[in-house]
Amino acid sequence: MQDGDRSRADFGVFVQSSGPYLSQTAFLLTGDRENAADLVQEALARTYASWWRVRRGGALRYARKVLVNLHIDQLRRRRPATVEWSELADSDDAEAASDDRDEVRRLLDTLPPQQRQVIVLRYFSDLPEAEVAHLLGVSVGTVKSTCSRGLASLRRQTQTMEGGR
Amino acid sequence: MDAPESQIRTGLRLLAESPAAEVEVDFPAVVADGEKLRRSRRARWAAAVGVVAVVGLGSLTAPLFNRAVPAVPSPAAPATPSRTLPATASSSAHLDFDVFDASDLTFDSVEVTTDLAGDIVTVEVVAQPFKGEQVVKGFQTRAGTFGWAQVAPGLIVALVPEPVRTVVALGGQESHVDTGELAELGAVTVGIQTPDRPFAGLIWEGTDGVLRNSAGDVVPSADLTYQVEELPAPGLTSRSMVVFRDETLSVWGYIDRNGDTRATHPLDEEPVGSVAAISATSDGGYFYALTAIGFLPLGGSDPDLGLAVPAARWTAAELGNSGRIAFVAVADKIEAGQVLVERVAYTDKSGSRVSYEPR
Repeated sequence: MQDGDRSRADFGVFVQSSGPYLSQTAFLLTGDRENAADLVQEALARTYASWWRVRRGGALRYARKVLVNLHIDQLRRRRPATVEWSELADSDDAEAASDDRDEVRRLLDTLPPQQRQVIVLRYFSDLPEAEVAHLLGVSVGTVKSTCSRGLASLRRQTQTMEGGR
Repeated sequence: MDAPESQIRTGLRLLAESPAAEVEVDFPAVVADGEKLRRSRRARWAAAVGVVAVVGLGSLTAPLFNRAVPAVPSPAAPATPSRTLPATASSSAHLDFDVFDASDLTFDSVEVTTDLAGDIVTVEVVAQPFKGEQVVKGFQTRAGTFGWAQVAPGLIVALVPEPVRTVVALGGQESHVDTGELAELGAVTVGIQTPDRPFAGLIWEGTDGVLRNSAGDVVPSADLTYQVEELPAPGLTSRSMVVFRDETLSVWGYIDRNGDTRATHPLDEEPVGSVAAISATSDGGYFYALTAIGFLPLGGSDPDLGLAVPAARWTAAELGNSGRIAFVAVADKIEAGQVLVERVAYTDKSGSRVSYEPR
């Protein structure tokens, strides 16, 4: 097998094993399936472009960092659409929705982008605070405080919703 | 109801497993885009030496380097391999530029069409910008020689008179390069987008493994192979790199075979050899893999390197028959900012043993 073929096969195995996790992470970060698909495609293409120097044990970590960086760049270029929880609480759609997933999705949508990133990386990816700090390019202290605010916000939203039932 | 962290975890996993989160990866597109990004990522261009203006069809471009070539030891291979061309031939190629770093690009793609009649090649270039109308320009060049023209601000199209393995861009800034085969002409067209930097020349590796430049010289080079601690792909036990030094274009550079990366740097002005580094950041840990490349002075021999990292390795070879030795030192793990090559010892051309500490 030529070196190039071996490299592609190697990368193919990586995409098969790690693609679903990266896709899920992208979806949780963006809340949008199309946006998530674009992020994952670009992150994997960039990972493949650097495949010769990506250490095998760190390939997922590398791809996840590329994904998060791309998401940060995307947020910098546009104002993300934020939804006020009170609007949702008053809407017929919100009251009608009973699906737990929809509830989680709505809760995530209420978070500012950095809180959302920290919550997803800490509680979906189960990454330690130091790793989250490295991914986002912030201090561990910032991760702690952002996470704390994010959790507090989610608790308040949940309590508000419970109070309204 | 409180929302303890475990409930958040459960909720996120539930959402991640929903059909809405299922994203299908287009693997062929990922590979194609990744390869395109890899090809254009490392091209660099130096400051100007001179510019040849595009002239209308029917005129002949002047040679890029119309000056005497400095005395460089002649290698065995001829400056340009001789090829028998047909009396007439037409060929065309499509060039695409990196789609991910398009912020400083003007042109999305370029079509290059060539017509050979006798010993004159007429080149038509149709450049499609991201916005606005197409640009159509032409130039002529002599068959079997290197030719180029600036067809629009920031866009250069060149003809390399042989099939190539690799094209190496010169200099110190990021640029964007794509190549296309002109099979009927036995040539390759190269498109370069570079923001407001005049063209300074080109180096390429022919399919015969010989490096040549746009001035018509063979560029002295050496193929260096070294062991690596961690393998870029299963089955590989070593990496190889071509190191070259071009006195005409005043650059040194490398082509990393395993990673398909390449770059050039200006020649050091110091009389003693120089050491520079290329590095890759590893996300497997907070350290760097470092490769340092340097050259002994002309006539120097028997190098011995003192390296800062115990596990680091080095190798050396003469660049063609130039009388100059290049060395490569490799460390798989080194601290950021740490110097790899601490000392270089060698025998100078008078036979004395000398050493220096690279800066």
